[in-house]
Amino acid sequence: MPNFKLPKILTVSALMLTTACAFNGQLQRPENEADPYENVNRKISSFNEGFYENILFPIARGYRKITTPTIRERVNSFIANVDEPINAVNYLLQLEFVKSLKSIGRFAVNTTMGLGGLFDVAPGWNLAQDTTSFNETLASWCVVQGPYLVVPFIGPNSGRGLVGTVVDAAADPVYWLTYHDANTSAKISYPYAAVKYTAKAESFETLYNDLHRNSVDFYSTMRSAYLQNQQKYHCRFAAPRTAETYDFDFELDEDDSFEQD
Amino acid sequence: MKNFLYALCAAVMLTFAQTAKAEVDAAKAEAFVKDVTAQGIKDIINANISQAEKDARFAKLFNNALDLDFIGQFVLGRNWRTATPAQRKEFISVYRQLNVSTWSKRFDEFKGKEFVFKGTSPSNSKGQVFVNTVVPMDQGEPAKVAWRVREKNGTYKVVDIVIENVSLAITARNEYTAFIKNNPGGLDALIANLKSKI
Repeated sequence: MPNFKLPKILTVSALMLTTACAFNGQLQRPENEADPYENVNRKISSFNEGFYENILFPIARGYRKITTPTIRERVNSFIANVDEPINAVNYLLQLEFVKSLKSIGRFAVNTTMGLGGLFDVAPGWNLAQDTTSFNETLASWCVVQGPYLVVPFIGPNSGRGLVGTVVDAAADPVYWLTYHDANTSAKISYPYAAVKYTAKAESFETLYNDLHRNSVDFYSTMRSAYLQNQQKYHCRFAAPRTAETYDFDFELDEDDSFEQD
Repeated sequence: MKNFLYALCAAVMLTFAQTAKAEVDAAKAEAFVKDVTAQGIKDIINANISQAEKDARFAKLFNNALDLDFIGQFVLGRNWRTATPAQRKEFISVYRQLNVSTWSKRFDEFKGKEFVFKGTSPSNSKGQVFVNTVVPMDQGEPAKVAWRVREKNGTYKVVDIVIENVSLAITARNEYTAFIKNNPGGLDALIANLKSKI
């Protein structure tokens, strides 16, 4: 594991800590969600929709056609297992030592008993999957979320989330095990990334179509869902939470209530 | 000093949370959600009946379990206030039909899955409580589903479903507010658009 990165990341986190702590434990109705780059975001979002619907999903359907559900499960397990060391490092950086050890345990069990990660047998050892990300690591150290961003080919993200996405991608073992040799990299790293991306698209397509069909403004739907989901992270220096992150004010004005006739 | 302030702040918030939640019976709310989901799985998903009968049963269960008048009014947000009585009535009716047909389709894909109940959490909203569940998936991590239940005159109704921290009511509210704001046809255009999706 590239633990030489650890001190640098800690320094950066410490620096960012001094800037702000946006998480204050206060709950508000998540309305008029801030989106300073809405115009650009909407353009990238429609580009992504075109790309998904005309290129990515057809490829994903082709992948579905030439594979069986069992094969796809093996592929997904393999990818999840390769990602497991990244979970372990992130949990370590979050000072979640038990979770970090569990990720290492899962990696050890699935790589050996699970035949190189093709099978997720770790839950049988009481090691259920529990993923995290560098975005969550940053959030746990109170780095602010930053603006909402739609990233080409990737989709909804935020300033902090984008940093997390890049760091997690660079931490991918397949990437850093091959990057010193351009030839191996081209043969292993890129095809692996392509399969990983396709497999993700395959499992996402149904949900995407469902949301798209039922939405009157797909951009707003995705933004709202992304921003709400991000609220689950908790800054370690903020006051402990006294309510669920999704407990907003859900009441109607009395004088306004709907009368059925 | 800072820690002390945080603790004080937390204590104050906790006190408020406790006074607000005092009136709703969390155990009854949980029993209600258990009953609704069990009925859905036993009498609809696993029942050996025609698709038409399934749809009919689903519509009935859905309408009984959810307070769609309340949710519909909530999702229109400030646009509810300016809507005419006729628009209000039509919106609620269209919103109801759309949700029944959407969730009927989604529920079909639930076959073979189950809800595992994980207790309740208080809500700061009057007479409301969250019933927490998880749905184990074929692969990967289980999905977290929280049911916001509201008690009114002794009856319990679901007023929101929160999947992976995403509230369906808030999402719809933001989506509809954005649509009305960006569309010259306003609420009427929204109603027409939703109608086309049923």
